[in-house]
Amino acid sequence: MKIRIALSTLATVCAASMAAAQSFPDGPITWVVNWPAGGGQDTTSRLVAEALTKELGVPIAVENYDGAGGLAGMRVLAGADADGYTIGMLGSSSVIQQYTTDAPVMMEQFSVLSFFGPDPGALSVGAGTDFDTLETFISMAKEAPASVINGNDPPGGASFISAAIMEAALGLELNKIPYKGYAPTVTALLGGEVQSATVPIPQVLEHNASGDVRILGVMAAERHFLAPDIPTFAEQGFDVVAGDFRAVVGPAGIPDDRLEILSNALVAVLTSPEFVEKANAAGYMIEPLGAEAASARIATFDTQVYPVLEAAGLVTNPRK
Amino acid sequence: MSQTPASKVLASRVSDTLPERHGPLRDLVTGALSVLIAIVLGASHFNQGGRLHEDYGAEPGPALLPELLLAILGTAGIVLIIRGVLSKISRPGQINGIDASESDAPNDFEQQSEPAWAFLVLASTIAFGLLQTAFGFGIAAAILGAILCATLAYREGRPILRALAEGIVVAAVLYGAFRLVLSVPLT
Amino acid sequence: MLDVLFALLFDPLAMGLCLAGVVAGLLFGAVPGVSSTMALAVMLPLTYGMTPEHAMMLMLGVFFSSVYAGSVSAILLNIPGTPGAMMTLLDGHPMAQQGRAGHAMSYALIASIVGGLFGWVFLTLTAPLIAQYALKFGSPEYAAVVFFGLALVAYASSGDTLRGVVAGVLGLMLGVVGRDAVTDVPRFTFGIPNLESGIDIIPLAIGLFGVSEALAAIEKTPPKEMPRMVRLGSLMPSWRALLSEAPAALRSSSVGAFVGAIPAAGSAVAVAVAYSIEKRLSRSPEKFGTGLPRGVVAPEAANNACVGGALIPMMTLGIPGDSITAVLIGVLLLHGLRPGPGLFESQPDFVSTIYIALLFSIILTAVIAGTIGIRLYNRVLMLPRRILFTGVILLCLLGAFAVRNSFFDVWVSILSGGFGYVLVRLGVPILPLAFGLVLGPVLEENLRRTLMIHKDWSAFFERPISLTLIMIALAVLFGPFFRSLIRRVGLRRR
Repeated sequence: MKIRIALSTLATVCAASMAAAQSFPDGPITWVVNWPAGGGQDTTSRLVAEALTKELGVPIAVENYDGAGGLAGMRVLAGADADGYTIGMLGSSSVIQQYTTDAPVMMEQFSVLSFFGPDPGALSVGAGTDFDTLETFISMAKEAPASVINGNDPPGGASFISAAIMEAALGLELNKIPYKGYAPTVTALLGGEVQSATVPIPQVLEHNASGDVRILGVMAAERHFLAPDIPTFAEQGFDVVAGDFRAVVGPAGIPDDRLEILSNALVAVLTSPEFVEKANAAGYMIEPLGAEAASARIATFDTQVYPVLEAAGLVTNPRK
Repeated sequence: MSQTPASKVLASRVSDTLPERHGPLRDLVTGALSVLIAIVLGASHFNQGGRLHEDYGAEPGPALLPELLLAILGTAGIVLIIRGVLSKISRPGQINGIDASESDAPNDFEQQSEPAWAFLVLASTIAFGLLQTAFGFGIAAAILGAILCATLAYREGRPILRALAEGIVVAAVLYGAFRLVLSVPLT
Repeated sequence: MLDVLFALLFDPLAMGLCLAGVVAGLLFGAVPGVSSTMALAVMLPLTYGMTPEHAMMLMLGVFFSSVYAGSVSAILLNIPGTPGAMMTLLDGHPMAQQGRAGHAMSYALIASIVGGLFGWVFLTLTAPLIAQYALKFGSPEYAAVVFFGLALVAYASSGDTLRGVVAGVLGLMLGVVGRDAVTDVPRFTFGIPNLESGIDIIPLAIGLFGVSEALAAIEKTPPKEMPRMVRLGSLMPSWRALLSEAPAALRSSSVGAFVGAIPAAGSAVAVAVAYSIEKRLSRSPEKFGTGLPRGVVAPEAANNACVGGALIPMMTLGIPGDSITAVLIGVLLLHGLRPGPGLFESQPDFVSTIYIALLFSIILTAVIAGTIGIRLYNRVLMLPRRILFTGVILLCLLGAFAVRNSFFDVWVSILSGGFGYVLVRLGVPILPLAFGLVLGPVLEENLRRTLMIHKDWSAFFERPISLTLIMIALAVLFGPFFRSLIRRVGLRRR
């Protein structure tokens, strides 16, 4: 009770200068997830939402808007009132879809609040293949173009883009076979239907440990916390950085003061040890970045991915 | 067809065997509808640009299955039309339109059936879809519920005003269950 | 395993959570549009503070009972709440209309329990073995098993072939809508963004089966002596009737458990295959769809056997068999447990916990649904006809919305309801349409993927599993033709 009185006194004192900031948020916040319940985007969103509720002191309702390959949710988010009471999470697919659909939702329609973390791509090969090291893989793939069978998402998906970025950077050509999502890709890799796959580390970690799969390298600047013994591509002399990421955004035009409150609260949540521990246990890499740094990361990905999409003939809505 | 009364009630049920429904008019309408769908979808398919009609090397590409299906649907439609025409010619007493088709499918019509009511309900459901953009899901659902319940009450010869209220209550209960208990973001 | 069993049995919190999970699953699963996946995702935050053992007791309770409860709205209201319940309504609802709703629900419950137990035994005995076998199931095998399923459907449809073809093709076309899984090229999307991810099966099935049936029922002049839409009738079928369904239940259970164990297959494929096998084996296939208990037993045994089957790739390989087990993996990960081959070696007790939690869930579902559930659901049937039909149509609309929180899906179910009603009036069967929609995309994707990998159609005939399946399918398709040909030739000679 004393605390509350103290707080209210404090509030009255500051009221004159910070009226708007003090009153935000004073109601429930809606968190839009553009994938169905149960997926990675949903799990991470619910994790953050739970912690953010404690941080901001208002309830956060997670709502899943599945459909149109994630675009349905993005449209809901972009169309919401920019009052800070509707926020959500986006990933690399939303950046890609700016160029690959006829009715896209552009990044300009969002204000970036914070970065959640990367989900770097990795190159894994089946235990039964001859690819012992990244170097043999690359030289053998170069020797016979389109002979190595690689499992990935359908064109435009995250692990397809990872494979395409690798192809472009190293001058290879793979036989890229599409699977609907990571689980069937990993199944195909284990069953030997594909020789390699470009799925992220958490999906193949256990199979690497049991010896059914060899992870040849991580497509990131640093090693993955779950697999500290696996070197990056760069360490092995190949400059490939690719993969998915997650960031928290709201509709464009959120007032600066509210944006700051949300952004700071998110960074505080994402840096808190309990949260990091929980998220890491679930296999998610955390890299808390504020609004500006997060925007820069998204822009970097944008510049990196556009030529890859163009080369794959996927661009239907060219950049102006 | 020796059918029990119970299964007669089900004559219009979703089932993959409805031997009593081979009326010539139905053949003609089904055939025409199939051909029409094939033409409309075909036009959209062949006018689509982009990568749809590209050569994909080892695999047949995304255009093959739709084209195969369009061909089958069109052919089946034409055959149905021919069959309808032929069976009308072979049974000259039944050439006169709808009556003829009803007379060769007597089973469905033993229980009085008035399709106008079904179309009325369908129309109000479509109206609900349009109304909800203006008033939100809840109010539109209440209006639809009242209309449906009143329509059904009218057909049963029961008081309509009470049914209007009942419809609104049903809508409110279901809306509340989805909105509050299941926290579905309904407008 | 026994020590774990007793530890959990004498842990009131664990048993309470399992009971709570079963009750929640029975409630959620019976609501149209709320899938098992959604029910699990809603319960997920509750497990944050629990031990992994307690979390599993809760989640598996929700999982199993919600799969069973999908049959409730299918039988009573003709609305398929989950993909696995899509076939159940074909015979379940006619039974209810004939005043045998009680029988239908008992058959569904008993078949579910038999299927569940079968899946459980399958899981505990064969998990590591089957996991290795399931991995051999590549794209050619997948294409072959779906081809096999479609061949069975084509054979079993004994009605007007031409209309069956039209219906099947329409279903396959609806399956084509959206971005192609292989090349990501949009097909039949007409520039509508919401069509890009395809037409979701649940709103479509709600429209085709729920809305169109309600329309067909409304056009009938209400009969004076039957104020209710369906009647419960007596609850228990006779023991003899039950026993005669036992072989079908076991066959369908094995189909369900096996299909469930194939990663990423899912219950929709399992029920479609089980239903068509039973129809093919039946001496009177034309009775399917008119209220045959077997038409309820087969899909219900199959989709509940799928539960145990789906846990196999999840536990042994760390691969989710479907979206439901994907959520379960999420639960394990949140508790720092990484399912996969290592789980059996590093955490044998936890593996036992999963086995026991599933067993308790099955038993509790049987007890709760059998004693309270069916009678409670029966309350729905006491409502007057006008209120029931009003409720059915509103539930269809709400359920369609709840699947993806999208009003677009409500439009899908309204329009497919109108379309389905027109088809019913024209005498075009809906069943081949539903099969085409479920199986078509799987067949196309795997067929084309096989060609991308092997560059050649011979891949289908060089692999033993796919060769066998294709041969049986061809025999099923062309067998009758050759038989009549031989008979005709024989007659002429005579």
